[in-house]
Amino acid sequence: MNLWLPEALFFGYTEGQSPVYIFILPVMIELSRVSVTYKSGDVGALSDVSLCIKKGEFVFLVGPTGAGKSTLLKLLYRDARATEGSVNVLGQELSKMRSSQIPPLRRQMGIVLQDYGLLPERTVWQNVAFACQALGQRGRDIRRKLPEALELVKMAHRCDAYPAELSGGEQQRVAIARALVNRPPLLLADEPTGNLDPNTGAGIMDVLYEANQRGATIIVATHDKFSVDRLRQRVIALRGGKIVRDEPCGGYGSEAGD
Amino acid sequence: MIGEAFINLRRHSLMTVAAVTTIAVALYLIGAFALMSYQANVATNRAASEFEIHVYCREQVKKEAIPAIKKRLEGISGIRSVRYISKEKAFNEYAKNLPIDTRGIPNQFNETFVLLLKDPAKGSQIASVIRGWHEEVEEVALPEAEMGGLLRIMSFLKYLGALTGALLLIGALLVVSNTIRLSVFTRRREIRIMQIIGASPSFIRLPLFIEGLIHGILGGALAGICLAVVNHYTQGLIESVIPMLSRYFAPIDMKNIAMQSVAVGALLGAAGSLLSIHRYLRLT
Repeated sequence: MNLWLPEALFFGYTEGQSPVYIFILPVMIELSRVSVTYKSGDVGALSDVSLCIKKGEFVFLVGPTGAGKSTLLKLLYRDARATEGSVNVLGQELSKMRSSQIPPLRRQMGIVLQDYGLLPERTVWQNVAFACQALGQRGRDIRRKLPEALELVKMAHRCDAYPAELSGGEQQRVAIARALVNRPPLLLADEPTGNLDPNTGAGIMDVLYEANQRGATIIVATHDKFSVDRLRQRVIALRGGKIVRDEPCGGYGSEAGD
Repeated sequence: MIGEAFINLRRHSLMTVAAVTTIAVALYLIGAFALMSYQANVATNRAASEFEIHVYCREQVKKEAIPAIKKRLEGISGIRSVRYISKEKAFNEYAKNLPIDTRGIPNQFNETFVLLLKDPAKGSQIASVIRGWHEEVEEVALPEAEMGGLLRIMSFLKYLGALTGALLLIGALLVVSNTIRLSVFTRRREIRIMQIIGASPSFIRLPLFIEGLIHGILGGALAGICLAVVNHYTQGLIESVIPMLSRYFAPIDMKNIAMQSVAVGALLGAAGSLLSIHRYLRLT
């Protein structure tokens, strides 16, 4: 962690909460023998998955389509429920969680999805501010946080543009800014570069990498072989709902083997 | 929050206009029928209270027999009240108006009963019954018969108004509910994003609720204005065409109508959007 950066840029420092508390907590995510099966047939999206992700890690989830990457991520922000096993995120046991506790959970994380999810009738600034407004934050605080978030993704110069005026890469950057504006300790990204060309995709991955350098724990599900091989971070490979590989500085690997 | 709702209403302006006008039409019709029903009721009651049957007793009838006759008249079904006017009183009333002509003239008035009915339509029927008491009764006088027919129409309108009003109310409720449902559908992307970033359900529901409320209020206001204007002109119209009838109707306060319309609109908007949000906005 770069200790010489201003405190506001530290990730994991959620407002009102002492940063020390977060730093003590080493394990961000723990899955223990988790299975997800759908009622329609014996299709097992995930079977007997166990893993542990610590604070500050950068993790790539790779694997062929249908291997369970998205399902795994959805478990983490409670968009899907595990049929077996325990899912523990940020110290909370998700399988026992009531529906009313889901919004507070999601407020502690940033989520970036493949289809950007920008509101078309709002500007870049309004889109990122939306993440603050929806949580009831005051205008003054929003005005303070937004420029930093936009700077992080290098979109500050387009803050008055509408999504339709932006390229795919730019829109995805804005989506990342929105996910990061509240400095969540955890960021989940589901195929963030799926619709983008390799170079733009590389730029997006760099943004995520930089966020990780500032202290955020990042989990990215991706097909982007190029970025995975380039960044050489922890790689968890899934196939058929099971983990087949878990390397600290891994590459993308081949689709057929491993 | 309310500002947010207005911004959203402007964004989806076409839908807002559609919803507001539909609600306004429904509320206008409800109001028109309600007013019609109300007026019909008032007119019926007033006409009934003015509908008097005069029963003139024979000369031979003695004063002692009067109470018995009165009781017998009260016993007839459909009689609201019986009032006894002695021949002396009748004569004195008459003499008051024409003092010179009546000086010295013997009292030729009969003992009189004035009957008020519950249902003027039964007037002629009751009158013929009383005419059958040949011993006591000399003559029974009725007001014009045309009242009966008119009052039947009034009665019909009263029930028609209530029924149609109820149906239209349900219809308007469905319109509001459907508009909000459309809103939810149109904004499903926005709602999904709100869920992803962890907004609480009330944060998502509140703007929709306020929008439904505003739809109802605006629709009610529009309907109220139209009702007030139309009512003003029809009152004038009735007074000039059927002056005899107009005295039966109650005067309507236009401001009152408008305010009531807005209030009903607001209730409708609130109820409709709550209904729709509960049914169509599934927030896990």
